[in-house]
This record gives sequence, structure tokens and C-alpha cells, in this order.
Amino acid sequence: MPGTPSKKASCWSRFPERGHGTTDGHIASNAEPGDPPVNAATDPSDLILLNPVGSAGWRLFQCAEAVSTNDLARSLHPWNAVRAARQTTGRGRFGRQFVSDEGGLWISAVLPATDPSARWAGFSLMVGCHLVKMLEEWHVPAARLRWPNDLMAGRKKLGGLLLEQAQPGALIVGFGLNVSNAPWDHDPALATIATSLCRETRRDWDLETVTTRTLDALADAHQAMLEGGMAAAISELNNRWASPVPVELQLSTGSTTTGRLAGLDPEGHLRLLDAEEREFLVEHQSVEKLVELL
Amino acid sequence: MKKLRVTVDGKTYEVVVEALDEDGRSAAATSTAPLLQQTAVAPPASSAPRPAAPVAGGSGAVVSPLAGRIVSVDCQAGQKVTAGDKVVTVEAMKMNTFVYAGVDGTVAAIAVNAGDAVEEGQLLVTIS
Repeated sequence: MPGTPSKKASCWSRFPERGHGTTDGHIASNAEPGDPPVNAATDPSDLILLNPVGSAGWRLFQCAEAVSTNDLARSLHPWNAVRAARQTTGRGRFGRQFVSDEGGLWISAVLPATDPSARWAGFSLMVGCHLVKMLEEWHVPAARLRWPNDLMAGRKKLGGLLLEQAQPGALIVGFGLNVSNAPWDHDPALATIATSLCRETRRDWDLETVTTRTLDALADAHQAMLEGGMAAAISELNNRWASPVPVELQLSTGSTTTGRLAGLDPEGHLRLLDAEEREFLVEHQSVEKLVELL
Repeated sequence: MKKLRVTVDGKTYEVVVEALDEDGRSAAATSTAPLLQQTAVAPPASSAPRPAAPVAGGSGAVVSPLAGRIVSVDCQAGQKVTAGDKVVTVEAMKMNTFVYAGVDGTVAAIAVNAGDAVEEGQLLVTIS
């Protein structure tokens, strides 16, 4: 079970802010990327600190196993991240569990967010957009987003995001990506709906390379959000969905509506096309579930 | 209730509406049916950023800081809470926002349930 998060940021003083030195004896400051993590983390004090990562100078902590990297990340300052080789109770949207076996990237990163919550409402989409750009750089075939921000290769899921605004002034970006792992070995039902970076690109991937590029993408998304917000990025974001895909929306009212998803408008409404190609809008908060009718 | 598609200022929305009687109550009222449910609204077109919803700073009214859906209600009616206790979790486009009590007190009323769609500024919990 996830540990109980602290009500306030009382654990933050234990960990260094970006650019500062290391802290107490629980942290091994000289570990190198690739060194095997030695502890199963049940508490932030079990984390091992690696050397700075990526162009933004992220401080990356790692552990062999975590209940949830998002839970551990709540104790970290902005520009710190925690990565686990395995998660035992990884969380998706609305608490749904997902398989987080060894060989995948299971990471949670903390970003500064001093503006009010509503200012960051579309940030998960911005992050998804930048991560898809990363997949495109790596020549993942048919890399795209699925509402709200699953990372897909065609019809199969590569990864997913869960963001949390748990503390004032900070956002936690939880990201899971299948790299060389094979979750379908644990759950055969995943064989038809999930894939991995290695499978799609037919090559091996170094987890450190994937981690570094991912953290760079998160920093880029954060900067883009500060500079122009969602309105400025809406065109680029809409290019990351599949070309209008038939969908069924299950709404919080209990009703359903169908159409072809054409993207978002600058206010964050979902844009759909009906059978006569007329556009209509649906509020994102009304959508309980979106099912692609491929 | 009836599902309609309405066009306002050139933008088309799907809405679910319920007929009301003269007193504003549902014509087919049940004790728990909301008066109006809608799947879309027609917000005024504006490029200016909306002001942040008032988070409960010193008030017993805990409101949603953004539009989204209720993931969980993390308190119970009658529960004693202190300022900073998490009372509700709101989700918007895969971002969970934790909403905290702004004052010490007792949870007097809970205005939402898990799965409800909420607007920015909508009352979630009342603390007395």
C-alpha cells in the first residue's frame, strides 16, 4: 500500500534543491548511472542519489522497488526525480493499477508550479505532446497521443502519464514507459494492447539514455507552458492525435456520444465531428471514458 | 432528461437538459436528481487568463481550484479536520490536484461525490 503522504512539505528539507550539495548519510552521492540500486524504497530515505542528469541538471534518485514513485516524489524539491526498477502498486488514472516490471522506465519528476492550479490544467497534455516528439525522434512508428495522454504506437500503448499537484508550488509528473520489459508476460491480456520501445524500434535501448531524454522533454514542456501556455501549443498538440479517429465518449451523466475526435480548442474542449462533418464540443471534465472505435 | 445539441455564437455544444416545473424543481423529481446536467457549456470567448478560483484560505468553504472530475472525497461528514488536511482530489486531463481544508473545524457538508464533474470555484466541502 502506498505510504501516507505528509500533509505539508516537511520532508523536503532532507533532500537537496537543484544545484545544492548532498544531504545526510542515507544518500550515496557518488553512485553512477547503471550502478545497481540496492534498496527497496519504502521511504524517501531509502533512495540513492545519482549524478545530475540532463540539460536541466535534474537530480535523479533511484531505488530497486517502490510502491509508487509518485508517492516517493512528494518528498522531493522541484527538479528532483525518482526512478524505480519496479513498481509494486503503480497507479494510473482514478487509481487503476498497471504492470511496472523491470526494464521499463518508472519515474516521477517534480517541477515548480507557483501559479494557481487552474493555470496548469492542460499541462498533462503539454507533457504528452513533448514525449510524443521524443518518440518521433526515436523513429517509433505511428507515435501518437490517445486522449487524454496515453503514448501510443499505432493501436498499442507504450506509456502513460499521471500528474499530481500535491503540494503548493510543485507538480509531480509520473511517467511509465515500456522500454525492454514485457508486461504481457505477466498479464497475457496486454499482448494485444501494449508494446515497448524495443519492440517498436527493433533495437536495444539503454535505460539511462531514455531517462535523460525523458527528463529533458519534461523540462522543455515546463518551459513551453510558462512561455505560452496551452493556447500557444494547441496546434502542435492537435497534430499529435491520430487523424480524426472515431470515438465513443462515456459521459459523467451516464450517456454516451460518438463522433470523430479532431483535437482540442484553445479553451480545452474536445472537438468532435459528427456524421455530417459538423463540429461540436464537449467539456473535458464531462468525459468519464473515451473509447477509440478503431 | 433529454440530450440536445445547441449552437451558441457559432460553436456547437452537446447538452443534457431536464424539464423543470414553475418552482424550478425537476418535473420528474427524485430526491437525488440534479436540476440541470450539461455535458458542455458555452463559455465567453476570451484570450485573457481566468483568475484563479479562491482556494479556501481562511474560509470554511472549500472550492475546486479548477474544472475537472472528483477522483475521491478524502473526508467524511462530521470529521474533525485541521487546515492543510486533504479533503478532496480533483482530476483534470490526467492531472490530480489535491484540495486541502483552509481552516480547522468539522466537516459540515460534502457537496460532491466521486465521479462528479465540477467547475472551477464550485463548492466541494463546507467546514464549520
